[in-house]
Amino acid sequence: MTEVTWEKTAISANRFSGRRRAARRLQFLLAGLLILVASVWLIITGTASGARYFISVDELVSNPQWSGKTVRVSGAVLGPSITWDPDSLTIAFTMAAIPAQFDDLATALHDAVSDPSVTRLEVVVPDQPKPDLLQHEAQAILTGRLGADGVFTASELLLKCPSRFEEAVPDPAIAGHADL
Amino acid sequence: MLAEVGLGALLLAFAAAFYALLAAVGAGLRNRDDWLLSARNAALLTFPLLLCSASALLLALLNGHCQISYVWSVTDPTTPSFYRFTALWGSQQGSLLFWSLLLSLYCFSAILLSWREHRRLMPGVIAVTMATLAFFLALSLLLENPFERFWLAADGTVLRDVFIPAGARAPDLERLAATANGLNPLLRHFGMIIHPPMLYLGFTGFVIPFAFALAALASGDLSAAWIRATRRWTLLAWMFLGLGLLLGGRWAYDVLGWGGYWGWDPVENAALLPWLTGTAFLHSVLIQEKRGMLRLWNMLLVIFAFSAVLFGTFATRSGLIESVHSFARSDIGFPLFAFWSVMTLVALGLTLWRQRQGLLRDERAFAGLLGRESLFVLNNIVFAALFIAIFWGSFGAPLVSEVLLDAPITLGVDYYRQVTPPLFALLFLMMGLAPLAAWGNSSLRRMGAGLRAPLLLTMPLLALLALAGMRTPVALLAYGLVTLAGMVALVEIVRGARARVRAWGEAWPQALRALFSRNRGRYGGYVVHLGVTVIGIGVIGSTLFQAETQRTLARGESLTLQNYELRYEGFSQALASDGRLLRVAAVTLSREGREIATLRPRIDVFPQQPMTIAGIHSSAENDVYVLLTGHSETGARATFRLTINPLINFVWWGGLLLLAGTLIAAWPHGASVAARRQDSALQEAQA
Repeated sequence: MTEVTWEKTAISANRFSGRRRAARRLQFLLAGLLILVASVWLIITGTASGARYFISVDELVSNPQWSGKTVRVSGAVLGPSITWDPDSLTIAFTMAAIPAQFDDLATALHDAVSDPSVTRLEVVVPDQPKPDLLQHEAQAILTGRLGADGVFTASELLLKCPSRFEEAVPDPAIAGHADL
Repeated sequence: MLAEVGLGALLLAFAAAFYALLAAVGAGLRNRDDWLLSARNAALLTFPLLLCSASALLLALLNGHCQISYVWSVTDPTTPSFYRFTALWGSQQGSLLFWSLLLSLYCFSAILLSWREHRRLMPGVIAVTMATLAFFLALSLLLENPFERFWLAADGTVLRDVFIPAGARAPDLERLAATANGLNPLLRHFGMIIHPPMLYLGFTGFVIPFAFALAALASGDLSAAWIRATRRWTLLAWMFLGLGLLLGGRWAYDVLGWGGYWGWDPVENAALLPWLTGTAFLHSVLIQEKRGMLRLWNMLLVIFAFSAVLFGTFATRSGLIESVHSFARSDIGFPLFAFWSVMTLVALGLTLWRQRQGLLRDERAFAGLLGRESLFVLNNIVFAALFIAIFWGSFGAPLVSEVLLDAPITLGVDYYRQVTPPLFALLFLMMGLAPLAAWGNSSLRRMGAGLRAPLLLTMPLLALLALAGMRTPVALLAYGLVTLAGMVALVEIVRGARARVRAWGEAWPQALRALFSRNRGRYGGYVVHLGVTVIGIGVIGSTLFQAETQRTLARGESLTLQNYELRYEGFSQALASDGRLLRVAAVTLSREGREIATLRPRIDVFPQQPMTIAGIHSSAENDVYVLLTGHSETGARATFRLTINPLINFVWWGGLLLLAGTLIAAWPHGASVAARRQDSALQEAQA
């Protein structure tokens, strides 16, 4: 049995003169170029409006150019300062600056909350249930703005507790019981 | 014993892969068939050896051999068997071994299936696949060994080593087990048994088209042979990666407790990039097959697809990116980066060399804007633009700004929501137009005639949506484009079947069956288009019309959102058999005054961290997604977040269609040689 297929038929290329063929190729190139230019424009405008500068607490507090701008900052949470109002769903806490470079995050967070000379920042996070990971010595990564009153109002709050999964070897105490 | 068996098999697999690499290169350079045969046998051996190694680790996980540090770090005595199985890919070392196992499975299958037909390409194929496998096995052996064990030194310190250090002894296993870490709570989900394997099958599968492409470049055989050999493998890898992405979305929706399924996280994006490149390749490769065009472009797409896989692997596993999906910081970052750079540069260098020799020149030029090949190329340009936009947002902007600016910048969800929708809209437009165009050239009048029926089907649906109250122009435009693309695919299937019904008097079911079985690639592709349409409907609904509210309620109080009411009924706590504390809220969900469900959103408190598990009322229309986000000590008051996700289930249903369509397209042809000759003769006559 002969096979039946549904296929569109092409317009014969011979129907077009060389000049028309060149014009059609030009149309194709222009369409491609248009898509590329539009994409580049989208990427540039998207970057301009969506970029968030990731700065340290020290830079945010000391440099007035960041005041009122949407930025991302990271620091260590001081546990005793945490408050949460269940009716307004507002979190407030104090965050201590951590250095930009460190070998061990847990140590950096511990040093930051223990040293009273480290720069501190008052933080408010509105319309946010209290996350379980919001606790003493957690790392908070916040997106928001520093107000004229010196309080940082965050629209986004990310938390990390480095101690949770970093234990690479068992407690050495198992050695003491090995021969029991 | 299991550690020794697993490690021995791993070592032998590395030796076999390395030997196969050397023998294949030698066979290619000296044209020695006996060396090639030896390389093939060694390459084939890697799969059973790695199966043995992975089985040893799996047995150790199932039986709690926690002297093996990997077993200790991902399980504990309370871990259920189900999660002991998923723990095989639950952390870096195990998942690297699993990755290598899947890679070797692909190599094993591709070499066996293509050995006779593509003998000339085999030295290159074996060399590239075995170089990749040997590299990943070296990472496992030297930096992330899954068979390292704990030992006690004479001074009581705990050591971690593959072999017993001098003067050390084995620790007490019971006490060791008592301190075991247990699996990361985020990975304790049914989806984790299938999401990572799918994703890894997708990632590793792209090594086969890459290897065939490099083999073609190295051998100078740049005919369509490498394309024929790899199209099905690419389809398979593309399908697995697509399913992996969808299942990852489902896992995030169920486990991460934020009400969404795609957060434009860099790790998610790293997996999306090769999928986008693969999709572009699957379209443009048709043009090379049918018209002998885009030879250079196809070569670049295959190279970039695998390069994106390696880059994604580097980004995810090096600790470069902070993400809920990424692995912990690891020493394998630099070697992975170096391997990615070398493989990409070698592939691009070979391509440039062959291009200069004129071996990648096209057989013909584009005839016009409305030809199918032109529309496919424009579609490829949009895919490339999406790739660049997502890569820039995830990696480019942060890295470039780190070097050039005072403060590094990050691009969040806002960036992607601004940049990607117009590009996706263009893709759907191309998806609707391209099937209506003929190869070579077409005219607006002819395409308009083809568009009439799909438009007639789309317009009433849009009118219904508008009558139902949807007046947002962006939403109507988005639904119009997506539905039109689906309708074109549907109408094309109906037209094909109708041609058979009219010509041969076949019944419709018989005509449809014959249509699909005789041209699986084309009609399987249309089913994939339908799947993507259904996914698009779900994404638009759940993105543009998502509604959310949150409040703290006392028992008996309620909150409302749209026409839903949520009433807080009570709170309870219980201890599960695996040690987690369950804090459960009972809520009643009503719609327009009628109770429709009782939901139990809860917080699972693991020793390591809590997890918020949503209570979901699911229907075709929407998901009502309830999270318990906080509570007082006694549960007298609790805070809930209520989210309505319209049409979200279309995303998962579309995934099933995508799976079905890809399987149809990739299924081997069963038609007889005579029937295929008849088809070819008819197509030539039609041309």
